[in-house]
Amino acid sequence: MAAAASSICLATMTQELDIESLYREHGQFVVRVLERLCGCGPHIDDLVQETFLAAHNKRSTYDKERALVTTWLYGIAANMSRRHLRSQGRFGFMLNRFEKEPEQQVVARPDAALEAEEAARLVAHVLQSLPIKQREVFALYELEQMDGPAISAMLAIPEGTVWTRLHHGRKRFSEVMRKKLGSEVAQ
Amino acid sequence: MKPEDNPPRLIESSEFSDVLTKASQSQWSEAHINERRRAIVSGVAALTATGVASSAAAASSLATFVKAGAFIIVLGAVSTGVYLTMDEEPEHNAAEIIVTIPDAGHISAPPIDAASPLEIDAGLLILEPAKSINAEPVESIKTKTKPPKVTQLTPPTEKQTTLSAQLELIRDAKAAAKQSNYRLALTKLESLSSEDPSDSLFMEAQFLRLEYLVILNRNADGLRLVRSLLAQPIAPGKKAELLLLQGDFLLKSGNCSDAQEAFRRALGYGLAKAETERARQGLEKCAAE
Repeated sequence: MAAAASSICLATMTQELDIESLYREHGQFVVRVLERLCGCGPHIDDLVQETFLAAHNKRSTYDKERALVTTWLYGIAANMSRRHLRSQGRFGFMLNRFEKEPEQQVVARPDAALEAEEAARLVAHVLQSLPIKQREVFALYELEQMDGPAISAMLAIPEGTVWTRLHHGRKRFSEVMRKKLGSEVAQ
Repeated sequence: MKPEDNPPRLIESSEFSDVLTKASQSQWSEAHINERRRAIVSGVAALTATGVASSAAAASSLATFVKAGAFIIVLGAVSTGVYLTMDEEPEHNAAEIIVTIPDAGHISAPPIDAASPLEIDAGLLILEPAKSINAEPVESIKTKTKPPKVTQLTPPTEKQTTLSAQLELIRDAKAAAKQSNYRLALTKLESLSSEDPSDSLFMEAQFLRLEYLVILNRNADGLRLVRSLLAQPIAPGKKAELLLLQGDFLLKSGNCSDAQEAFRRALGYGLAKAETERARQGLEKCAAE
């Protein structure tokens, strides 16, 4: 009886939230979020997969009356990022040294896409110099072009905090980016 | 910065407009998205299969839990009643305490004031079953006597079920790898990563994962897995093999100084002949670079 009830419940939830269509619709958004929070690299593939598998596991907790699906997905992706960053910290400097030289993927791509990818790598790299809380707000405001109230709702923080974090984040980002662009020009 | 209005974005500034616009346009190619979609779909399928099995197991254990819980609640209510009564003056004509045991009738005790002074010792109420508890019906007392020891065939335990599920997952992963579907194999093995590290199947699954990561050329993931495994309490022989793999990963990524260190540590832990040779070759390659 209980097993039958649980299978009925499972079937209803699957109808409500199909992970495959969710991925098709919001996969790129999750990729962008993860790249900005954790930097570009092969680890993003795994993190994207883990995010959607976690979404599948937690699909019963999603309440469409309460939040947008992107907000819910963002929460899961941000948690995955934090976990990844913590584990990276545990691995220590050797892993960091290993990952400083990202593998060059030999893929035939149009120039525009390649340029966008390079720019994304550069921005993601600079974003790593920001504390995670500032990084989150900066990425959502500057790159996802969301507005203050939406970010406040997504991160569950007061709007004033959004502006404070954005202010400090922009300051730090500008400093580091200027240095990066300056050194690239010098080279 | 005023909280009530959105400040102008950096993407609109002349300084960072170019790089931020390009960065915001970056996205995965369709092929990449599809490749990951397949992995997610197979992962979800694996999770659904194991999820249904675990929910059925949970449902069967729920009935047992509810029975035990009801008994504990009745006992708790009785003991609370006893302590409350002790704090107060004993009342004459107090109600009988009735303990209901599922499948064993009920046992009734006399009112608290009926207990003799000898039965109250250091503030604790001691009820002597033979003297002060009258059991009704008589059969219920018989159920309290120790039953004769009967050897019964025990049903398969949860551990055995988990073990068979683990074996099946490893078998599926190997079958997928045989068909060169290494991503599916990895997805299946990843579900075993939360198992107990002391389990023999855990290490086998992790070594298979490493093998497939090497084949897929996912060096960063491989190195991360090696490091996480090295942090586990494992046998020195396995540690040596892992260090050798770590050296290989580091050498492949051009990090020679750390690779040398890993090879040396692997040799220090003790390796088989062929593997010792491999570690030496790695050291030579590092020295040449």
